[in-house]
Amino acid sequence: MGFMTLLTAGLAHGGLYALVALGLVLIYKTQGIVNWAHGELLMVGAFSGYTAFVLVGLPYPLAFLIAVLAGALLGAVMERVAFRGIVHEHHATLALVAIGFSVIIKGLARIPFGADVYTLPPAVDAGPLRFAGAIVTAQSVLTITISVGIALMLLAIFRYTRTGRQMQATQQNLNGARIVGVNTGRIFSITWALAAAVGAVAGLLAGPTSLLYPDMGSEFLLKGFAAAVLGGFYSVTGAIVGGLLVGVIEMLIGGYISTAFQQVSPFLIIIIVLFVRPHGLFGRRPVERV
Amino acid sequence: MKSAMRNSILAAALLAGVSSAALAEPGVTDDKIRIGTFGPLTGPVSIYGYPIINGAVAVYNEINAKGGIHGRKIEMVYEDDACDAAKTRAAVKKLVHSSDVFAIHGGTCSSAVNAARDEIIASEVPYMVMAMVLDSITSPVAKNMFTTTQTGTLDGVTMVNFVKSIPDVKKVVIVKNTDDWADSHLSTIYPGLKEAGIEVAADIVLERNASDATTQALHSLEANADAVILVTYPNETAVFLREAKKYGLKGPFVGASSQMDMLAVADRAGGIDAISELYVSSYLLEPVDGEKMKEFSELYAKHFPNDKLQTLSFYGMSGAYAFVDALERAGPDLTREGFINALESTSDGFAGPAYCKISFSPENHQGCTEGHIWAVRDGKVVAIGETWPQ
Amino acid sequence: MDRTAIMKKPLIYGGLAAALLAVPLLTNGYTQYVVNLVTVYVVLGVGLNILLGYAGQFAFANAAFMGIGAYITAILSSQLGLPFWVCIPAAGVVTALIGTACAVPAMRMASIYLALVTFAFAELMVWVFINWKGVTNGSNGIGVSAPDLFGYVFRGDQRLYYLLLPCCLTMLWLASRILKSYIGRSFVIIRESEIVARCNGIDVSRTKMIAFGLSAFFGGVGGALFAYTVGLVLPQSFGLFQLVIHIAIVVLGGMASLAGAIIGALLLTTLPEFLRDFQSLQEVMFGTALVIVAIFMPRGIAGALTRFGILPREMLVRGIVRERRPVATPGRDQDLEPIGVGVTHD
Repeated sequence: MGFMTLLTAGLAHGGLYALVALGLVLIYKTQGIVNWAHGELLMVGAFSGYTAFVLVGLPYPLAFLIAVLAGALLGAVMERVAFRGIVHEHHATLALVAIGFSVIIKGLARIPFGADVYTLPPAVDAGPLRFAGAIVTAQSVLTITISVGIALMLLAIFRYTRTGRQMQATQQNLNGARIVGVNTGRIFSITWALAAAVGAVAGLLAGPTSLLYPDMGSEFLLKGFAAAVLGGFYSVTGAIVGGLLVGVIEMLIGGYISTAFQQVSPFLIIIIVLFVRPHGLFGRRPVERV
Repeated sequence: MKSAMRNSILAAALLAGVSSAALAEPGVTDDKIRIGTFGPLTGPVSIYGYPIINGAVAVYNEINAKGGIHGRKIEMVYEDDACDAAKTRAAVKKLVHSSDVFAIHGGTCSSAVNAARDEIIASEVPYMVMAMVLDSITSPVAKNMFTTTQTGTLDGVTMVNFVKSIPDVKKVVIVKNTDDWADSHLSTIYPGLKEAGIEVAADIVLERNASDATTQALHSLEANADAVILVTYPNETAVFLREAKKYGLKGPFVGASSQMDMLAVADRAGGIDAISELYVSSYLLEPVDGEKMKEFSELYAKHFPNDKLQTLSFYGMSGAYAFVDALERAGPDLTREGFINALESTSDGFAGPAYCKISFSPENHQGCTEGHIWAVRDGKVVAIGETWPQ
Repeated sequence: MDRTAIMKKPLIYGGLAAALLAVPLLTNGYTQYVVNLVTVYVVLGVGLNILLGYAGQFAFANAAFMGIGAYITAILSSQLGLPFWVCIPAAGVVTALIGTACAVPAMRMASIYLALVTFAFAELMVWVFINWKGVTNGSNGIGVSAPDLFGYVFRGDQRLYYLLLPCCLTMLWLASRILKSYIGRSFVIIRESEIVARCNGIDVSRTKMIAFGLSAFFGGVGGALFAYTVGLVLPQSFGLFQLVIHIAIVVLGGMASLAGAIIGALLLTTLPEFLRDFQSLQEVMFGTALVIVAIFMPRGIAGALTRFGILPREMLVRGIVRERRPVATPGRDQDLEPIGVGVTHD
């Protein structure tokens, strides 16, 4: 079977998974929360883009911007209203709150959009190109470019901006950051807004391939989990590499083993990776001090 | 024991009163017949909820607007089953025990309805399927359970007969979902192909909610078959046809009745030319915009002006017409027994927008058995008969 | 239970038993079915609470264990015609063995990875239930006939209740005995600090395996009872939504509390039924309820009731009840000051 075709298709989808994983990793690094509602942030991004671009008829770049802002706002609201007050609670409580949000957001999305399946046109509309024996669409090139671009941008923010350095400080030692005068509440809000914005971008890019419906986020969340586990859950670079890997592995499983296993490939990846490396592929074993 | 006691109290109360409807048949009063319905009103499958139920409700509303049946108007009670076995059971129990409905016309998710089958049989409430497609609902025959929907096995027969009529078909590819709905289709497709000497060159799984079908399209391409059989839901069909176009996979593609809304599939696959080689099995008379469908389209739009008109809008109508017809024939002294007898004597009954006449008998509670094929001609979906067009 | 409760014990228990036995007199077919589901979910909630609340292992596999138990029951009763008093224990024991086996790789993982790997396992099991058609009959599922005892058939919800109720009470009794034993106290010490547990001579790996096995045992029995209640075992019944219900029962009811599991089961089974009338807003209301209770009662309802003195404090050993969990952000876990056993923050 066309290996190059599988590889390019895998990378294109992997770019999306990488963006989802990136959002998960950002929040997890900062607050230790696994955002089970992240798939819904992606869905909100896609539907906001649809509303602005198709229903209202705004130009694509403006619609894109509105969708990203809508996602960011929703993320910041979720953090401020719910998670900030309970961040010290048990993981199960945090997971339940996130799942609660996911149920609410899906329920709300169903009121206007529940009765049909919608399509979002691709950002760039061009026919498939033949490239080195593979068939590539302009949309997939754009997806990979944007996900790598966003990762580089985040790395630059962490490294070169004051807010970025404060974010890192908060991630490494919350109390320490507070003592040296970092407004950690602000950092939490920014982190969630950033993560949600990245999720919304993923939704806008996923829309043309995946179709728009209120439950569209769940498949991407699972693949984002697999990507984050591969990447170690702590690292921006890891999330990108993990995402691309998950995309390619999925295609190779479908291509060379059986399409029956393709859907469960993220679960197989999670189980196998953690079986071999209990702290993630790039994760380190935490040192427990007494 | 308790409900018997309550019934006797109710009966006593009614006897003491002046009501002429002394027969305390649940859900029936002088001016009302209460009919329960259930379906996926919430959750991921709710796209198959109200759009289907509303078609049936439109028929009942129209009857009410014309004065009802023997002076009684039909009152609907809705319950959500979310396509979940435990919730379907709860929904049916609530309709039977708490809402005291006279009859039930509902059930869209095949295996979930099966979870409530014994409950429906035990309750002796007359039951008509809304849209589920498993044979197990009427075979073996249960006295109070009826269906007018085309079952998956019969849908499979329509598909396989069409494939057989395509000139020079030796090899086919099957792209399939793995659920009970797909299995019921495949239970007649595999033997039908074998009997006709057609080889299955590749048997490919395409799961629900797949956002990509690259590997499935490439496998199909490699198999180099004469036709592709698609036992998939509309979204995945659209995704598959999109990739098929991208990688140059040629049809004909023969789809299950789930894909009847061909224009919606085209829309999701990126344009009408994506479905130019798609042939879909159907149990409706004509596509939504067809001449024969006008009456029913207008009926639906009249009662639900804000809904989008789609093929789903017509799934529940045939059962409603069968119910209404039997209610008329059961006469003014309405009892469940009389109603079931009236249903069982239905012969060549009006099926509304469905491509059949409804016939039941004490031995057969599967009312509709005919299907045909739709395809795109000149940018329009049309019915093309049951075999390959000459 | 405190001392006054112990003195009133026979009276309270007698009254409670009479009330529980009388429930079918007040119900119809529908309400009795909901009550039956409550008894099933009490068992399932207790099962997850052992692992999540008491032993502090954030595992998501409970829905899968429930599914395994349900399928074992369906296969044994429908295809081999075995009676319920074989099927239910068999479902529990086999599931417990599987749960123990799952514990071996799971034990080495940090909390978040444990959650993800057990979640992946649960989703994989649903896929197996769908695709292992020779055994599970795929998405068509396997029907379960009504259980019978010496010719008495528990057909109909009222009758079935008299099978479910004793099973549920037995499991509750079993759980309270185990949790008050040495092993139950070891669970709590491991939750508080594995290092302290080791220092006290507790075999951490073995105890964790027991916690997994025990939790799976309850999950398996709960699955068996679920199979008899619903009458048809389908793969889709054990997916993500089932998992959410289990976690919600434990978290909203109250972690590390048997009363919490009962309250949670009651709440999470009846809430969706009460929300039926809200039609399309049902999901939004359900999600909002989850979020609000979790935010305002992070100790769960049982925790809130305990604080207001309505529920007696459940104590395994005096002195190790703790009100707050320390800051748990990863990357900082390792930098925390130790919190010893015996410290109370009342």
